[in-house]
Amino acid sequence: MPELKKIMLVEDEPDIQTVARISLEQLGGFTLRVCSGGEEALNTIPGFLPDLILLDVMMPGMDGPHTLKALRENPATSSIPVIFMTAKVQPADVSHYRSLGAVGIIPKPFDPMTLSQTVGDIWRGAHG
Amino acid sequence: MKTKHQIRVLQIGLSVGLFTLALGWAGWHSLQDQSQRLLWRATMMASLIDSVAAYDKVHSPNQPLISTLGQVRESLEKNQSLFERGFLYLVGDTPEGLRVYLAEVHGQLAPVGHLEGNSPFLAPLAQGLAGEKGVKLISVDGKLQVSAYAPIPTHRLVLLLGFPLWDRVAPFLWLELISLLAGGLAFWLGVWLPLRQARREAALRELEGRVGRLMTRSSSDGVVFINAQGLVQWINPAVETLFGYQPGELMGKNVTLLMPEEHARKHDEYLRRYLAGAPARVIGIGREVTGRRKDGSEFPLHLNISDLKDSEPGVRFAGVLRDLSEITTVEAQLRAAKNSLAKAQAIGHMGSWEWDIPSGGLTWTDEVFRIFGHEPQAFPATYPAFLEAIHPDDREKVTQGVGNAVEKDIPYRVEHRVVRPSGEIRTVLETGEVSRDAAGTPLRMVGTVQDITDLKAIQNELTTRAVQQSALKEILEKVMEGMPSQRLLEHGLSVLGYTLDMNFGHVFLADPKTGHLTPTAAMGWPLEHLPPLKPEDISRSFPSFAANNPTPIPLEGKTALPAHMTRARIQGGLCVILPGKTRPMGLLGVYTSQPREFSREDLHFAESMARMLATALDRERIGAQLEQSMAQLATVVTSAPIMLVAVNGNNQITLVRGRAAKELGFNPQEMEGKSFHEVFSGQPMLDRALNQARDLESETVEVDLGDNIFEVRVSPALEARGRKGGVITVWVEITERKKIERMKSEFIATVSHELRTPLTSIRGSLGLITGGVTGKLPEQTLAMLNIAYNNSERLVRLINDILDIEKIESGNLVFNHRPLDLHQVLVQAVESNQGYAREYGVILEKEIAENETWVMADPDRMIQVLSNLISNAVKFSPRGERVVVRQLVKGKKIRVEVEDHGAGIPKEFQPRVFSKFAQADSSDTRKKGGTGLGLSICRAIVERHGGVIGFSSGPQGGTVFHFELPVYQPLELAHTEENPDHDQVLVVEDNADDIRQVTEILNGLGFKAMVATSAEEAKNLLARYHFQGVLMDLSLPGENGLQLIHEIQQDTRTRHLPVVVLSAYIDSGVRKISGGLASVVDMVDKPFSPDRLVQALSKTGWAVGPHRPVILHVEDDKDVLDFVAATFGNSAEVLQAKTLAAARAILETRTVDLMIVDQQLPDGDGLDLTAHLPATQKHKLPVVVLSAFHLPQGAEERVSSVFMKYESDPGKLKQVVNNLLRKTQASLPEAPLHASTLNG
Repeated sequence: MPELKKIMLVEDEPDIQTVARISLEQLGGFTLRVCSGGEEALNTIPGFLPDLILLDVMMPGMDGPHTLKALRENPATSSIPVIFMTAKVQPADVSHYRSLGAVGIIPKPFDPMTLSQTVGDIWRGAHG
Repeated sequence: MKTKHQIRVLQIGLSVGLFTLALGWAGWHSLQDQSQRLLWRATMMASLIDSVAAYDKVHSPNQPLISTLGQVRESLEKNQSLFERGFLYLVGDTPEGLRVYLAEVHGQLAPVGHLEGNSPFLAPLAQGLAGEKGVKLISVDGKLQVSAYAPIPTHRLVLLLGFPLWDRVAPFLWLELISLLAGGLAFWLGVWLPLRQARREAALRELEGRVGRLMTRSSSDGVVFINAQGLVQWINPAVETLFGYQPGELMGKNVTLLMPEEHARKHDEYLRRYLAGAPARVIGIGREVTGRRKDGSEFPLHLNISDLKDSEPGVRFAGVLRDLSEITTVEAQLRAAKNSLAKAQAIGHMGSWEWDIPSGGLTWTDEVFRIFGHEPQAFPATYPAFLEAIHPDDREKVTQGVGNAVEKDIPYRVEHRVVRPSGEIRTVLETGEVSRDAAGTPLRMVGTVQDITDLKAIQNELTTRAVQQSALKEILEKVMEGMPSQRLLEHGLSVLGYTLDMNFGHVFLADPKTGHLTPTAAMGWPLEHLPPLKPEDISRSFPSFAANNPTPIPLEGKTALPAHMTRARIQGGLCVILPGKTRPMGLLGVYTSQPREFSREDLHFAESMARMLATALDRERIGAQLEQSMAQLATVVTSAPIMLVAVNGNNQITLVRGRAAKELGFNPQEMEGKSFHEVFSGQPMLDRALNQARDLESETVEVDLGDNIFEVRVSPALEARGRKGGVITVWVEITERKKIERMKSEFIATVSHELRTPLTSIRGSLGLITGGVTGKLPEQTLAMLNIAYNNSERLVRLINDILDIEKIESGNLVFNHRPLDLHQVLVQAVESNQGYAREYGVILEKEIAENETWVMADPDRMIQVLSNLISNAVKFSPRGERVVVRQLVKGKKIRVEVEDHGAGIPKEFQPRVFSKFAQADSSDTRKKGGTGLGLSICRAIVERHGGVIGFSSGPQGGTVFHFELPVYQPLELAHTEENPDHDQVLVVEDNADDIRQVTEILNGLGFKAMVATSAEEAKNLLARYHFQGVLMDLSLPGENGLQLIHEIQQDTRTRHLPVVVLSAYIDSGVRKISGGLASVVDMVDKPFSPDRLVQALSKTGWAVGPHRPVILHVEDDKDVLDFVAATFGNSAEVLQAKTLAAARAILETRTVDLMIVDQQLPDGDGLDLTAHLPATQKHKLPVVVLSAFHLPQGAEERVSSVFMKYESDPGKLKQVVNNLLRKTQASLPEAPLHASTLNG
């Protein structure tokens, strides 16, 4: 199982970016790149090539699901596991995310203290 | 001995008789035989002579005949023995007369000479000369001779041979005579004598028998014969009965058995001494002694013993006994009977008398004296004394009656009055009978006198009562007929007055407003003469009026009467109140100008009449009120913004009312009379509710008619006499409400989501700070931040719960039901709450049976419920206490309990436990960090799983929350027959809500949806799988939907696929372009209703929509109903009936394609439905039995297929049903079953 090192966070809310950054970098020790929208992420990912992408659903411009689809269409990025991190977690939403191929869903608000651990668990689950 | 002797004599007699007969027969036979032989010889000889003579005539014509005869004689002589003691003549007819040539007499042959003219031979000769032969009996010299004659034609000769009859017959006759004598002697000795003897003996026996019977058997006297030793030789049944022994039991026993012991001991000795010559003390003298019965009891008897000496062998003494106890009893009974008679006469007030007609003597029993008012036997009874006692007016009647009886023999039966010395008059009934001598002269007259005064009184009373009863009945009939109250009151008044013999009467009715009494009916007075009575008049004249009590009050002299009554000089009467519900309704009175007393029955009658009239008045008032309120109701219904549609048992609309009907464009007049299904077609929920209402279950369903949405309350309408079948539907339009509800849901969803975003930052930041990521903080600061953090957490929970509650209330909460091992869910819930429990210092334990416990449930929701209950229990437990999660299986239910040892739930709070925002102590909400919504959500979830939730909390603290879910029977799903090509539809759609909706509808129709969120993905799937068709959104990410349709049409593998377009942006251009595409069968605007989509799908040629087969499922178990409904989903219209009656109602109105029946229904066997199907049903309606029991013998031919409930496999069921339907051309859509269908 490859080690989880590089994580891409796609999130339009700066405050959440800040919290997540502390959780993942400071507490989790991951290398983190943050993008504020779908288009930006699509542009950044081929260069960064993260091990895992944390993707918000509701974003101005290209939203999470569309971003995921776009990633899947690009052979370079099509195999990167994606976790949706979202406040939209009604059962129907969750099953939709799963059907799109998300490896996990982290509902907002998340616990910053355990976020890294949760992400790690999902990672291991996706590779187990 | 005698008999044997007789038989032997008889035998001898018979033998002799037989011998005599044989002898006679032999004699006769011998005689005949000899005659025949004689004739034969004569014939032979004659022909010999004839032939010799003929020869001589030819060869020596001159030889005289006589020489020939000589030869004949010679030859005859040789055979002389033959003719011994016989004779032979040869007689010739010559010109000289008849000549006898040869004669044999005593063995000598000699010429005889002429035959005399009186010769006995002439007759046979004449015959012989005529050429005949034969035998004749002739008398020669006084002796009978047998003579045979034969002709010798050549010489006109006749040969006569003969022998004397007597010689031959005599020996036989002698023998005959002797044997006859012997036979006669034998008969006399063997038959006649014994017969005479027997007859004499029989007569003797009969006489003996008759005497014996008289003496012994039929007599109640006992007869005992004993021998010299005292042993019983013979007894008659009377003795056995008398002493209580079984027949024959005493035979041979000592007679001492029948005596008391002290006698018995001395008896043998006495007998011995008597036989030795001692003087007789008992023998020959009758006396009273004591007998002992078998059971030891003793009784008096009269005994007479005779010494028979030696007159009969083996018997010495004869005893005749008679039971004296019975005689004593009879005497006593006779005395008792006399006493009883006297008593009876006294009780029945009936005396008897006897009149000796010739002497005129009269005897009265004591009671006659009493009836006539005298001391018993106070004076000698005489006929004049009798007449004196009779009422003067009745005397003639009595004397006439007596005269008729004596002279004309007419039975004496006279009712008359008696005047007692005290002057009291009593009514008596006398009867009597005259007895006469043979000449018809009257001798005696015997009769009875009965005091019937009381009886008469009762009879009169009964007659009055009967009249009153029939009067009441008549009034009741009038009431029932609905006679108007005015007439009824008049009628009732006159009936009461007439029956009680009154000539005045009045009825006043109370005016509820003024309290005045208004005259309403009158008898004896003109109505207009009656004054209205003011309250003060009433209280003065009828003080009892206020009591509202219909007990009649007889008029008393003191009462101040109203003027009209005073004027009529009313002296007596009754006044009755007509009782109302709360206040009296009026007053009824009947009066007379005589003082009058009333019996209890009269009062009762008046009261009954008053009550009945009051009831009728009340009924009329209620009727008027009812009419009024009906009118009001009709106004309300007509003007209410609802629509009321009544449906009868034949699904025909019988009534349409309500403002909504017109406002919504319905035309009530047009709808009434039409079929409900015709007017509201394609509403399966409505149909189902209609059927349920026929099972007497009300339901509210939502009905979307396109432009308007309705909430329809479907309730059973119980028609007259409880007949089922009618249904009332109340339609309330909720289009606007639904819109608002939808807006509210959306608003709450949006707000919740929007709230979470800032909360994420707040909670995240606080979490990091309190987590110590930013470094150590002063304790106070940390405490404050913890408060902020905890409250942000609570806010999140609150938002989640509000969202849940909103969904529950709007009915949008989606459950992902699937078969679930609840055991595992429990383990998981307990595990995930261990951390929480530790936080509170509470020990969380589970007591779970290890067996698998399956329920049909949504796992996430189950976890939610369990977590909620567990966290509640933990929160409200003191530190160190235990919280136990338990799981029990109770029959068909699984029960989960969560037990805590907290303070318990205060009694006053208990009713509100499951209410929203309810917590026992509002401070708890903040202290315990709850939202007050958890239990409310739990209840909603459990109830949506078909379960129940509850709790028990003791006053000592400790609470157990529990919920129960129905056990799910795991079903084996059919995977084998699955063919993905036949049921798969490609859905090209990127909107999650639309995907969900479309998928649900497709699943419901029995299709499997495969989703592509882009054109690219769709093309991928199209290349890899086979589909039935495509449902496509036009606005897709990336490639345009229209482009995709083009490509589908280009590809030879997909060009046949029907496409349904879904889009929010179908403008005219798009419609034109895509409409031109051959594969696009329909275009559906978003947002769309399920019906619209189904309608579009029906155009694809898939079997959906109105052509669905109709299956009638008859079953009383809700789980099985649900199972079958889920099995077929929307692929068939499943009509459900829980009873045979409901099923029959459906069969009357709907044509079904197939029936699935259970055998055990509340009102019978489902198979019975096959017996009498209505004519509207198919001739061979396929019937599938889904039952827990095997079919009874002989039922197979009525059934197409059988499924056992415990092994029913939805896939197989569907397959079989489809096969059966295909045979009747109504097949289901080609779609094997999937888990999704079941779970839906």
